[in-house]
Amino acid sequence: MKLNFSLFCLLSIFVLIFGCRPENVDPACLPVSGSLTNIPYLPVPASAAVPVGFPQMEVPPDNPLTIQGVELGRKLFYDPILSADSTQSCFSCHQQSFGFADGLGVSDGIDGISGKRSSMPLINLAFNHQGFFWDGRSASLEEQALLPVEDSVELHNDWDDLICKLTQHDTYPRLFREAFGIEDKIDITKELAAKAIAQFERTIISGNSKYDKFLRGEVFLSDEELNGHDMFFDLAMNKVRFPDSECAHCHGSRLLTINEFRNNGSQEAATLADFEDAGLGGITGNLGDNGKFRIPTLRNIEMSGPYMHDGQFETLEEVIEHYSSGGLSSPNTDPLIYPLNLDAVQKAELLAFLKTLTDTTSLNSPAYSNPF
Amino acid sequence: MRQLLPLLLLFLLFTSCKKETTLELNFMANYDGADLLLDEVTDYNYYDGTPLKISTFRFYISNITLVKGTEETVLVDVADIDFVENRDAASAAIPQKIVIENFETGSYDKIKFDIGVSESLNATTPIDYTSTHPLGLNNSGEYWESWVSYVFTKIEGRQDQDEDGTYNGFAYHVGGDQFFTTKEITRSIEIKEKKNNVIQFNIDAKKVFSDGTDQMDIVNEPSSHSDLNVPSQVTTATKIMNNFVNAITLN
Repeated sequence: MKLNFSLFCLLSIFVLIFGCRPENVDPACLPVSGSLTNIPYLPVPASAAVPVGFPQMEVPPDNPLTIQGVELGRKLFYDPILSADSTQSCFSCHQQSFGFADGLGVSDGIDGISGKRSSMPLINLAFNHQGFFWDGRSASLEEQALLPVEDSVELHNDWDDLICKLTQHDTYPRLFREAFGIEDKIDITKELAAKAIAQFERTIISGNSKYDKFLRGEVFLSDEELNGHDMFFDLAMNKVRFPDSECAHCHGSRLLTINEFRNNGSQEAATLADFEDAGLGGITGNLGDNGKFRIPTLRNIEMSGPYMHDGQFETLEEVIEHYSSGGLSSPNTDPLIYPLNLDAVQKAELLAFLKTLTDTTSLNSPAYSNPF
Repeated sequence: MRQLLPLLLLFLLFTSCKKETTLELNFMANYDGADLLLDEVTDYNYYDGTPLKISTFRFYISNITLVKGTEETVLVDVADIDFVENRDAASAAIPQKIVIENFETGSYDKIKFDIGVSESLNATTPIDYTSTHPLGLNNSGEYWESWVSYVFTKIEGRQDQDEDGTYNGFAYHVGGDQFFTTKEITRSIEIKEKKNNVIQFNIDAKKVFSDGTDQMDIVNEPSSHSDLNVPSQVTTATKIMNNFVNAITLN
């Protein structure tokens, strides 16, 4: 009996230690050391092609773009090794053909659990310096890249286990050496992995849509597209026929986002405490920030639905209807969200303009594609 | 003791020299004397007694200049004054601050400044600057392409016009070279050496809605743009800009 009790205790301790680990993780994984100094470290500066009329790209001094860093980041981005069961990676929710979103309202992580928010498009992130994720919880791309790996509704991995696998991998130690000059396999860290992913993400640029070509004087917009454009940017003289649709307050500039946080009337709430998803407020702790979310770019918007932070709208027509009707009521719905009462023609014109933001160059660029 | 004296004198010399001459330009916002809180909660009384919340209050100030006779010392070319951090009494007590270190001390007769962005700078766009510059990318929401101009002043919020608990939004934005406005305040200003000098600007948000006689009719005119092709917008924008300038006083 005494032996049984001791066995029970041992078993309990074993279960406590190993019971909460994600499945399919090798519990015996131990990081492998091994010198890498025989591999040349000759990083070559990389320069992403910034389109004319775009802001300058600001890169953190401690993570300059290099060809080797970008390539490593691209491999990690697409490699299912990032997830605990080696089934998902960043690309699972950020697919090039969907403008680096995933075509789903909300996505399932490796355990089949749905997240509560829609996948954000990863376009022109190099020009955002005001927080990442819908709720702005990460200040930089480097910080952002750390989080999905361990998120229980995403890749549900453990960085220590992932780093262990990377040290044992046939090619990653060499790639980390070439990108960051580490001297030993054991020097691979999650911070370096995140830096590499951030480097790759900075290179994902969209700046060759029909709208861009129009601004460069290379093509004309159709009358319908131009009318939508004029309402979008409040450029029309005739405000009755072409009213300001108030879009550009949030989706202005060549980036089609001001990268700030707003409540766009996508949730109804009687009080500031009643939002189903607090968004930015959940991070800052400021009640007034509840219900506010990051303003996403509208580039490739035709491809990146469903729309809003929770994927509540399947189509762009629904989105336009939402704004035309004035959105849902809450105490801090942005003052610029009010009933526009657009007619059918005006809605169609806005839609036509939004479709000029589709950039097949970025949707098909081999530089952003899956390297495996 | 005699040996220590020179050391003590040296110490005093060094520590006394450490005091630098600085000038702080502080900006504090209030609503009719009360702390201005952009917390989406605090109600203020509008002129007609109806509840009003302010959610955004910001402006560009340019060419802040101290004047001594015919001599002018420009302290700041352009700054973005944004009270977005006024979330509670503690944060509202912290002024928006510009600290200047290299300038001529002495007595000045007046201070002048412009509300808005000067014509030459207003010909630029956010892509011409680093992201953190007042006119840069992080303030791209303060550039309005259809005016080809930065938004000089912005006040947004909500008003419960019929006091039924339902608030309706308002948004007054003004921009465009035509609305660039200069203000001078004649006041003896002494900038002393080796001292942290402070000049404090107070801005009363309530005064932005009134010229002292007529108040903005928020119900019927809940927004302003500065489209020069629309006379009513020009009228409203002019009113708001004049009120904004008058709302700024020196402590």
